[in-house]
Amino acid sequence: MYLNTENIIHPRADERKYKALELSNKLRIFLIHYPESEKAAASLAVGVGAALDPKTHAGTAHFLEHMLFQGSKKYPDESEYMDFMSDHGGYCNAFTTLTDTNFHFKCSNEALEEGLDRMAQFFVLPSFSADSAEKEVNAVDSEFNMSLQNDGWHFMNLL
Amino acid sequence: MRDHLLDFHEKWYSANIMTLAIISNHSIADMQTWATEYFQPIKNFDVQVPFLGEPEAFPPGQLSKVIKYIPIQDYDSLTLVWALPLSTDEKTKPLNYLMFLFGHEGDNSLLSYLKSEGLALSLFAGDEDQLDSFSLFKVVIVLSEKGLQNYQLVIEAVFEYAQMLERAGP
Repeated sequence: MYLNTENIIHPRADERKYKALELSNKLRIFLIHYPESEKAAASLAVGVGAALDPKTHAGTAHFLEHMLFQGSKKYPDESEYMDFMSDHGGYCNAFTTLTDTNFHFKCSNEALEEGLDRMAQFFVLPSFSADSAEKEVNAVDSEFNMSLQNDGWHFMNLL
Repeated sequence: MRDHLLDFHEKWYSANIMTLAIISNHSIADMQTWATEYFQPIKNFDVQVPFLGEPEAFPPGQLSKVIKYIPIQDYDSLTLVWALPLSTDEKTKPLNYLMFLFGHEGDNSLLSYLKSEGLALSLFAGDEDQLDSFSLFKVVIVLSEKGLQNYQLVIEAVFEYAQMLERAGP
C-alpha cells in the first residue's frame, strides 16, 4: 500500500481533518473534513496530458477530456452531470495540460455522494457516443478560436 | 478519430496514475466509504508514464534571444524568461524564493525602481514546471510608453537586480 495515514502535518490553528489513502486499484486519495465548509468539492487528476497525444492526432487528450462529460453507461444523458451540479449549487469543469488532465466539481455537501458517483462513471464506463463526439469537436474548436485572442498562448508558441 | 479517443482512454486512463481529492463537511469515514464504493471499480493496468524530459527544449543556440511581437490585447510588456532546472526541492523552494524577491513591490524593490524611472506600471514574477525537464522562470513587466521606448534600460535593471541578489546571497 502506498500510504494510509491521518497523520498529515498541518498548522495547529487548522481545524480540518485529513486522510491520505490508496484504494486497491492504486488510485490515491486525499480526504479533507472541514466542518465549516458550506460546499463540497472533488478533483480528480489523471497523470497524462497533451504531451502523449498521438503524433497524427494532436488534441486527443483534450478532446477526450471533453468527451468524458458527454455521459456514461450509468448516466447516459449528455447534460446530466452539468445539470446535476448546477441544480445543487455548484459547477464542474476540467482542463488538460501537457502532463495532466484534471476534472473537478463543487456542489452542496448533501449532493456530494451522488456527485462522486457521477464523476467516477467517467472513468468506469464512459459512453463515447458518436453523436456527441461531433458536437464536442465544435466545442473544442471554439475554445481554440477563443484562445487566438489571448496573447499568453501566442507568447508560449513563440517561445 | 473516435478510435484514437478510445485508444487513448484504454491506454492511459488507469487508476494507478489517478489522484482524487475531496473536501466537505462530511466525516472522513463517510467520504472514504463513498470514494471506495465509486472509484474502486476504475480499472488499474499499472501503466507507466514515459519520461518526458527529452529532447532538450532549449539546446545551445536557442537561448540569448530577443523575440518581438505585436500583441492582440492592448498593453505593452516585456517578459524575461530563464530556462532553469526543475524546482524539485520541496523544503527550500528556490524558485519561490526568487519569485518573492523579484515580485516584491515595496520600497527598494525592482518594481519601485522601475516605477520611479517611469518605465513600468506593474510586474509579475513566477515559475512553471515544463514536462520532466526544466522550469521556466519569468519576470513579466507591463511597460509604460517610456519603458517601451527604452526597454533596454528595463532589461538592465532586472539583471542588475539579479546580480545584486547573487552578491547578497540567500
